[in-house]
Amino acid sequence: MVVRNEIILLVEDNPDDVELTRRALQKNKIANHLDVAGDGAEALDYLFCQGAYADRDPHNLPKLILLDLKLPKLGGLQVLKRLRADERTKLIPVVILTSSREEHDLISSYKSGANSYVRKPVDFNKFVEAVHNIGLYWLLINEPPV
Amino acid sequence: MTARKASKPNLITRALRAIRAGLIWMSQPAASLASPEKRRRGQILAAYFIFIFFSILLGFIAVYRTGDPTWIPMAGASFLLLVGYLAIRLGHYHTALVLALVAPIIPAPAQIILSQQMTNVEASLMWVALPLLISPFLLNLRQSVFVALAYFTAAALLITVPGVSFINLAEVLAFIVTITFFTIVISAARRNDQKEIETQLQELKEKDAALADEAVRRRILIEQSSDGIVVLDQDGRVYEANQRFADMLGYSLEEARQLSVWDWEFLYPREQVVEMIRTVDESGDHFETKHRRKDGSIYDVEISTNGAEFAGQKLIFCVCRDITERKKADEALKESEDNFSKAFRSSPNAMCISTLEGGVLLEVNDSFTRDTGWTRQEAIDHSSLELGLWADSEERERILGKIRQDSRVMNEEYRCHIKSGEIRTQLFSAEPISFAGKDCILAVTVDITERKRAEEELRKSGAHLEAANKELEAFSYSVSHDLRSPLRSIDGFSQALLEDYPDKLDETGRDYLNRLRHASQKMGELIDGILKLSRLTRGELHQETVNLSGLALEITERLHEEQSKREVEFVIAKGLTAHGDTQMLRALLENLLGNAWKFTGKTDHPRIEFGQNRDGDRPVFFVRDNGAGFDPAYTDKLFNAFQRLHSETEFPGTGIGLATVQRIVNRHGGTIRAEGEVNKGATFYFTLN
Repeated sequence: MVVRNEIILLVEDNPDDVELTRRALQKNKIANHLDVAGDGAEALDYLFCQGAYADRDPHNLPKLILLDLKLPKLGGLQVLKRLRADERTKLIPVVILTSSREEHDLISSYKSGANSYVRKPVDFNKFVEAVHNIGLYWLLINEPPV
Repeated sequence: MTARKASKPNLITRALRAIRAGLIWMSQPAASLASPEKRRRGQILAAYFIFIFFSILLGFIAVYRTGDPTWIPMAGASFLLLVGYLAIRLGHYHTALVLALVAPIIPAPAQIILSQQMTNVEASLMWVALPLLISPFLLNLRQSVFVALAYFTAAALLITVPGVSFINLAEVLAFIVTITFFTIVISAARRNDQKEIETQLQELKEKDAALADEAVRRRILIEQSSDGIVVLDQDGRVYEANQRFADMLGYSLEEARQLSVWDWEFLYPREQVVEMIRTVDESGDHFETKHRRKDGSIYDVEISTNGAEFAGQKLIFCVCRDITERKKADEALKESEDNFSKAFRSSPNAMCISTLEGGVLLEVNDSFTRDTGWTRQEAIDHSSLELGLWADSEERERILGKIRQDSRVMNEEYRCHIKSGEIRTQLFSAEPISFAGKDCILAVTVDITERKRAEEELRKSGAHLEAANKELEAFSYSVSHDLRSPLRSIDGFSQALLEDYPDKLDETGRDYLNRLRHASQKMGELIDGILKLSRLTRGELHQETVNLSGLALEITERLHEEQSKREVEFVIAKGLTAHGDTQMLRALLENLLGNAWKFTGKTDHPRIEFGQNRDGDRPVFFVRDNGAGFDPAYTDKLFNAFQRLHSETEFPGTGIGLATVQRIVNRHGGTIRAEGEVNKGATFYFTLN
């Protein structure tokens, strides 16, 4: 897989999942820089360069956001809605990466502007495969609007 | 008696009275006199006395003129007249009339014989007078007068005859006047009598016509009567009957006329009927009985009967009314009254009847006493207000207002204050009825206190249930999300260990890590299965027509794609449809076909069939395979969740599939059952709604 030095933002509170995601990305040779936000509020701070991230370059927006739904403080759906409501982050592809397969989660995610919805399988090999597909599609095949 | 008393006054008074009566009769129109008999008597008496008067006058004239003993004929005439008078007294008018006519004639020959001399004029006049005397009986009034005038003229001519003295003339004239007067009177009387007879004849004719009319009217009345009319003789035989009577008994009229009362009487024995016939009189009798028709059927009749004697024969008149319908109506009425009474008494709902004005209770049933605590004796003759049944006076006003406005109410909720002091919630319905001739209200109350309580509890438990459901949802969400994460870590890091530290692990270590991975994946599947099962019980059904054949085809194609190495023969019936939720029916077929696919994995020539039978009108679908089958002894465990009949190594699985299938079938209102034998395949039959 072609490597590009573009940021992927992972919003995930479970450190195990962070580690496994990182590992899956590596296994798929996706060498993009991976930034991690541990909860919804941090994710917004990161994206809008505020709070702890006030010094961040606001133009350096992530190429892809992998967003968990069940997050401390601010839930994934709220984060998504705020992103979509803001001009700066409106067009960033967001892939929901979650354990839930509840139908209403799926529907409300798409309604709130998610680009994709991927359920994390228990089988790590399948997870690797899923991450591979996400990376392939969103980072290589898909043509972003900007 | 009165006639004898009236004869006591002396002769002159009587003569004067008679003359007066005759004059009155002559001066008055005949119709104005009281009765024909009186009138007739007056006429004849008048004629009589006038004649006696002129005869005496004539006698005196003769004695005065001749000095002859004329008393002999005079006495003879007077004797005859006296006998005539007695005849009148005895009512023999004709005899009297004959005597009156012959009285003046008989003495004349006697006088001629006695005196041996005959004055020509007198004698001839006497004899010539005869036809004149008879004339009133032959001629009418005008002719009689004419004849009299002719005599009068002839007498006048006598004057011219030589030797006729004035006295002779006066004598003749007096005689003629007498005769003429008599003639006129008699002929007038006769004419009057004739008129009278004519009038009577006319009256008689009219009476006859009226009687004939009357007879026709009565005949019509009898024939048209809707009641059977029969006249019996004293032996109970039919004397006369109308058509209706024959019809009622089912006989022809001719047949009916040959019958006797015991041919139709059903209720009373013969002796009693005989007794009835004997005793019934004009005051009549009235009773109910039963009659037997010609065909043997029995019907109810009401009889009105009278007995009367005609020409020495006793006849019994009977009017028979068929009262079958009335009896039926009476019975129906009685039945309906009984039914109402039964319904009222045995109703499980409290019922009471109270007057419209004043609300005084007239009747209450057992349920009323049960519900209110007031006994019947305590309640009756008291108003609901006196018993304090209305806990809320506003409610009472509202409901009574409604009754006044619509004259009825239906299921109005109100609070009833019962004897124990407890306040119960009841539904009040009322209808106006007439009871013992009074305007009343029939009220029915249903105690719904318990129901209200239960409803309240239900509402509460409903709220609990809702809360529980929410909890369950939160729980399944948490299961779906949180329980899976650790599994991913276990699996993921086991894999990482295997990949990153292969040289530090021996065979056993790697085996253990693989077991960890395998177990966590298995648990992931279990969690997914449980979630799916719970979703099936919660979600709504989206009913539509589902192409089951199409679904089955899709599923089998996918199975082939997933395991393209396997060769399985699928036989899918075409055109099978059902009404149900597409997603659920898809899951159903996925499970059944997936199972069949799985359990034929070790079978030579695997064959899987999806088809449909019929159980009456109801389609029965089936999925049949020739795979591993199952032990029929465990059929009942087949559909329990997590229940497996095969080892994991033999055929892997979670044990949730058939539980899910059963849940889906149940939610579609259908049933499912399985048939199978070890190594001989299995068949699952299911119905949908």
